[in-house]
This record gives sequence, structure tokens and C-alpha cells, in this order.
Amino acid sequence: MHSRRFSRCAVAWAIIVAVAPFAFSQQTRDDMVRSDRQALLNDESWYYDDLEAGWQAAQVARKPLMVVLRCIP
Amino acid sequence: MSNHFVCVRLVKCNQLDLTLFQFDYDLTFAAFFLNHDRTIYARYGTRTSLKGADSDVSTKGLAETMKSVLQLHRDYPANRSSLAGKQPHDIQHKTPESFAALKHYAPELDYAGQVAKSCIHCHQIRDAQRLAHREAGGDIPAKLLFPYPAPDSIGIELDPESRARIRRVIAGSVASRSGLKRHDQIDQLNGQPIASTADLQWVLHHARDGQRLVFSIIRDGKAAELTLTLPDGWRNQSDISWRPTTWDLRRMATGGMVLLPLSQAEKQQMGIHSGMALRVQHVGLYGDHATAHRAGVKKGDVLISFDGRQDLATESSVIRHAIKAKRPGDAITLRLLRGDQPRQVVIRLQ
Repeated sequence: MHSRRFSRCAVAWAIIVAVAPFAFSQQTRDDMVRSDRQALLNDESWYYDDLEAGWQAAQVARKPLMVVLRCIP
Repeated sequence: MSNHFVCVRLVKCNQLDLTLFQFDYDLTFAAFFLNHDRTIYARYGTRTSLKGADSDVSTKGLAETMKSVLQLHRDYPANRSSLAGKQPHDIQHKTPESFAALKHYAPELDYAGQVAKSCIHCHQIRDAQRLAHREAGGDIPAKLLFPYPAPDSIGIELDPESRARIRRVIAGSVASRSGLKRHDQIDQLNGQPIASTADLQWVLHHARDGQRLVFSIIRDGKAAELTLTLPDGWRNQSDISWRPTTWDLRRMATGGMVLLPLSQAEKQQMGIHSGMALRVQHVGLYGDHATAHRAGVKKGDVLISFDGRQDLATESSVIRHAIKAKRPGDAITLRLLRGDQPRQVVIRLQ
């Protein structure tokens, strides 16, 4: 399941970054944070705000973790 | 290649483990690469100005870093000793909430309410670190004032599309004198594998005046080693004006002024011959950021002397003087030009 995680998440992020200034132009910052969560929370490409799950998955899969800290500006 | 990572997205610094996540807190994008045993392989994320981020980072550069990380992961744990220097140190606070300024934050975001306000933002960690020193009446350490120096602080610029390849060596710089050249690939620095510009900045962040830096490079396919000795005051050359956390330093040091150097032509036009000519690009109007405004400073004024100094050519150098040479409550005399009319005001540092 995780084998296509990064490529899918990269596409998702690229879309979000590209359209955010337009799609969110009428949104408040609070709306943008909630939208970001909605878009990524159920995306199997990412462990969203769940580092503990990431540690466990990395141990099982014997893969390195990439932990991204990204602010909603 | 990208399939070989477990990806975690962190969206808040509330309860962030500061015994692990030490990085340049002024960034809005940062990445860590780790083993599941918490060993850090690499950091990624660099910013050197408010211009487009593509001058510092790129997707191609990130991919190069990831390739390098995968090799480190394959070599682990045999390479553990070479990674020792990349691990967190100088640990003084376990979480952001352990700072007095941030202790009121709840552990989780308030998605049903004012969610952005419930978030501890990365830059607030550095703000809190500095404030703790300032409110204790003590000095703000140089490492906190000029954090994570960019490569140009030693005279090199790295190609953002590479992991750590030099694209420019600044003539006359300490890097130039050490023999570093354009197109050199920095493989290790002081024995640490360098997978990104951020990895190089990590080494610089913890380096001291007079310290020797040993660069292991690849030049024309051959390995070589070069040594650079950091001169006194090298860190102070960093430009911190772009950093979000400089906003609070301005409150402490300039009375809330944002200062931008005049061009040489503008200086000539105004008949300014000293090294200092900083236009007041913004002056705070409210609360603790309005000290200069209340003293009479207006947007567009040109600062030509600060505390008797006429050699402070950048905003960063003004802030450094105010923070390092003075103390909260000290009175500072400012000499300004408004058009061709000289003015003098006094502000108190915070």
C-alpha cells in the first residue's frame, strides 16, 4: 500500500500548492488549515500528524522516515 | 526511489519533541530523514531571503537528498559513528510548552474553533528561546541571534538542484582562500555526511570562531580534503532581516523599525558619505512595536546614526549592536534624515 505513497502524495501536494492561492482566496486561515487536514488526513500516502504510527511503519517496513514540517502560511 | 520512505506530515509544534527536532525554526517547510530508532540521517530545508524559495530549494535537490539518505540507510548501522554529529545536542527544553511564553498552548489543535491560533508555529520556538534569555536580563547568544548561517557566510553558494554542490565561490572569502572551487561536491563536513544545504548549515550553526572545518569533497571525480578556519565574527555576517523571528528582535532593538539599506545612488543623491544609510521601510504603530513611532520616527526617514555608530550598514548589524552591546532599558540616540532635514530622537530598548 505504501509503495506508491510518495508519488501520490507528491502529486497531491503539487495540486494543493498550485491551486491554494486561488481555491483558498476566499478562505480564512482557519479554513485553510481545516481544508489541508481534510485533503490529507485520509490520504494513505501520508501519516498525518501521527509520528508514532510513522515510527512503527518504518520499523516494520525497514524504510527511513521522511518527516515534513509544513506550516499553512 | 520515493517508494522507499515512510512519509509523516507534522502540522503543528504543539508538544513537538525538541530533543529530536532541532532545525531552523524560521522555515515554513522543513524535512527530517530518520531511522526508526530516531537516528537522524539528514535535514532538508533552507531559506536565505524573502525572494522566491527556488533560489534555495527545489524538488530536484530534494530528490538528490533522498537518494543520499537511502544510501545512508543502506549503510546503517555501520555508519553510525559518522552520523553522531548530526544528532540533537544542547538540549535545554523538551517541548515548546516548557518555555514560559508558550506554556498556555493546549496539546492539540482546536479544529472546531480558532485552529490557527491554537497552533504553536515553528518560529515561535525561536522567539521563545530568545525571549527567555532577554527576560532573564542576559545576553542572547550569537547562535540564537544568527542561527543556521547560510553557506554564503563562509563564502560559498550551493546549487539548490544538487545535494551540496558549490555553484559559486565568493572572491576573497574564507572559502576561496581555503581552495574550495565551483562544482566541488561537498561529501562530508567535519566527518558528517552532507546530504543537503541544511546539513551544512547544521554544522555551521554549531561552529565557533576559530574552529577548523574539514571539507571532504569530490572534484573532477576524485576525492580531496580541504581545511577552512572560521575567522572571528564570521557568523555576524549573516543576514537575518528575512527571518520571521526578526520581527520580535526589532521590537527589542529598533523600536519596531524595519530598515532597508539605501543604494549607492540614493546615498549620493542625499549626500550621505558614511557607511550607514538605512531607510525606515516600516515602523510599528501599536503596542511594544511602536517605540520608534512614539519617539517621532516616520516611514521613509533615513537612519544615519544609531547609538553614535555610523558604520552599521545593515539592519542585521544594527540589531546585533543593540542586543549584544546594550541591555533592555538602555536609551539609544537615533539620528535621521527626513528629506534633507536632520532629526534626532531617543528610544529605549526592550
